[in-house]
Amino acid sequence: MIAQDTWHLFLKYVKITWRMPIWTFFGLVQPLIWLVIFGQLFRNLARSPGFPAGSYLGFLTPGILVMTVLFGSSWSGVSLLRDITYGVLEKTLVSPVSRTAIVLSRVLHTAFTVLVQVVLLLLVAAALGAGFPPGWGGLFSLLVVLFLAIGFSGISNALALILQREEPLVVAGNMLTLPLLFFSPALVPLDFMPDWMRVASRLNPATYAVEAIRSSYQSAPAEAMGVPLLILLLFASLAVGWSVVVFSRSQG
Amino acid sequence: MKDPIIQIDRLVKEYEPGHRAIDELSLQVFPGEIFGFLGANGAGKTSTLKILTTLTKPTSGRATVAGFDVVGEPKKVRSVIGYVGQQAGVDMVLTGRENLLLQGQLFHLPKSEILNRTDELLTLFGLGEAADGKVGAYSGGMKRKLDIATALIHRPKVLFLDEPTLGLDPQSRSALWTYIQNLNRDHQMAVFLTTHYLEEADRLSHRLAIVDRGRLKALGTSDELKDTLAGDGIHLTFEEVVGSQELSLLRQGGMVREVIQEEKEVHLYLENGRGALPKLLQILEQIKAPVRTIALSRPSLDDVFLKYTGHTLGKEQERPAGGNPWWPGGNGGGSQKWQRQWAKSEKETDGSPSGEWKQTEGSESGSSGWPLAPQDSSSGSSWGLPGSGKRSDAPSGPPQKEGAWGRWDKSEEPKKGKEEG
Repeated sequence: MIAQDTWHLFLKYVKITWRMPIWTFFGLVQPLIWLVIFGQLFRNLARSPGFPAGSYLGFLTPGILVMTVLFGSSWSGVSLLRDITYGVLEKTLVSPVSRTAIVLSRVLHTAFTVLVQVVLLLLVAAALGAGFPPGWGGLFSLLVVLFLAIGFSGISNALALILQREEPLVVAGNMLTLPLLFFSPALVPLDFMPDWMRVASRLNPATYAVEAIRSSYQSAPAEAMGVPLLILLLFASLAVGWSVVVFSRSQG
Repeated sequence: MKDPIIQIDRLVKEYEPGHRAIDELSLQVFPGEIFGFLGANGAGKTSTLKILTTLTKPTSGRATVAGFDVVGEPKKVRSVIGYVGQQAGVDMVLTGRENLLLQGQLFHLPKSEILNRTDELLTLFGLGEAADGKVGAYSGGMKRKLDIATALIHRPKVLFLDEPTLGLDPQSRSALWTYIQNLNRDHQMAVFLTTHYLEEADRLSHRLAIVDRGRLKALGTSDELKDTLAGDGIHLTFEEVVGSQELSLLRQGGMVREVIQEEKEVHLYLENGRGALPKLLQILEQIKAPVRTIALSRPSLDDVFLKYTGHTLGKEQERPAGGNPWWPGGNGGGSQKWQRQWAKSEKETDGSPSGEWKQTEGSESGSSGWPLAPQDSSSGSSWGLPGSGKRSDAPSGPPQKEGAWGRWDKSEEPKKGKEEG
């Protein structure tokens, strides 16, 4: 029943997104600006001592992909609040539909939307000269993106139910995403960070995502990718579990 | 007697400790019944509905729907009820048909049944042509109809409606009433509806409950409740709030059974309103308190509500909320709304001079006499007061205009009254 309910609700959300595609593209504007402008601005960073070999664009691309995930997922809760305001959620809750499926379908839908954005960005980055991850690396990167997006949209949905209003939710989203980006190797290598930041970045799921995608571009051995993937899977499960608990408590 | 389809026992809901939104509520609703739950905003109507539909849990007490406990067996309750909330819970970006299909899927119906049921409901509610258009482009009435249609996809045993006609224009409202009555009649489906429109409760419900501040104040059919106010009502509006001395004078002579004061308005209930009027006018002369309006009426649901809650429905809402945009009377009690409506129907039916009938609100007529607004719906008591000579030859009896306002259709004299749709 959960799988069936999740599927029906997921299809509904996808249908809604499909009819308003402008928002999906809108979410791409900011990452594109970063990729192009930030990439140009800091291109000489790649020449600094201690920086990994290759272009800064190549270094930056995995970071921007993760950034897209963070920005895109943090909006997930906003539409939940809208569903509450317009009585759509209430109507769903009065049906015998599984409560877990309501949360799962929302989270999966956000992850799916983010995945589409990431694929488009991958193509743009390749066109700019960053290349593609070789072999299975591309699929592996998408899996990383999927887990990370599921995790953060789970958090966003839980926060929405706790904060109950759109404004604080958007503020909280912004407050979370930028520090998470800076406390990860998305923009500069971890070696460039002061020690305390480097330690803190180990608690950040985005760190593992950036590292995993980056190693997939460099056709790293499977072990190097497997561990971060497991960590991200754990993160996604915990976040979704949390949002299901918060949802069941607040919505009976 | 049949087993109740809804059984509520000493239900309590506290959102904050000590503040009871629902206070020891007990009642039963029977299969095939339209049950009206009447009260002002904040009376506990929506809270009760949310408990019955498993959306929220009671603080204490027990409620069952179709034999299932709302707390212990919420899934079973959900599969036998339909719910239409105050907001249209339909997705604006989806089409009407898609909304219905999705609802069928969420109720785990077989695919063929979903398709049949969707077509059936689209036809029933006259949404066939708009079925494949996005709901965002629907009118308010269409959205509400679709909302009700989606709630019916699984043939529920009980339909819960929370203020079903709130915000609708009079035509849509009247059409919706007909749909609700037909659904109830054709499918023997119990309907539990909350409303703060007296007229809606009066016209639709077989039985109704009056709730005030979370407590059940009265329960019965509309006629039973009106009978508790045997006799006539005389409604006086003074220029100022009158004191207890004046009130006791009004009470004198033994004709008045009950006096309810509500700020500047005083409501008298007595055996024979017309007979008592001359004497009452003499008393008013003595009191010297300037009277703005006098109205004589058979007891209406308005009076019943006043009797059991101590206030009229229109007024109570304005205090906390600072005006209710949906209440068509603006700043008046329900009775003034009836008065103006009467004036309107009068004008439409027989073209009798209607201007002076409208003076009941606002205009100061001073020395020229009391503006009057007869409210009597059956006994033909249009009458004049000294000073307003023209009224003495007014047509007797209210207009029995078909469908204009439910209240007139449902006359106290069933032989004459037309019971349409």
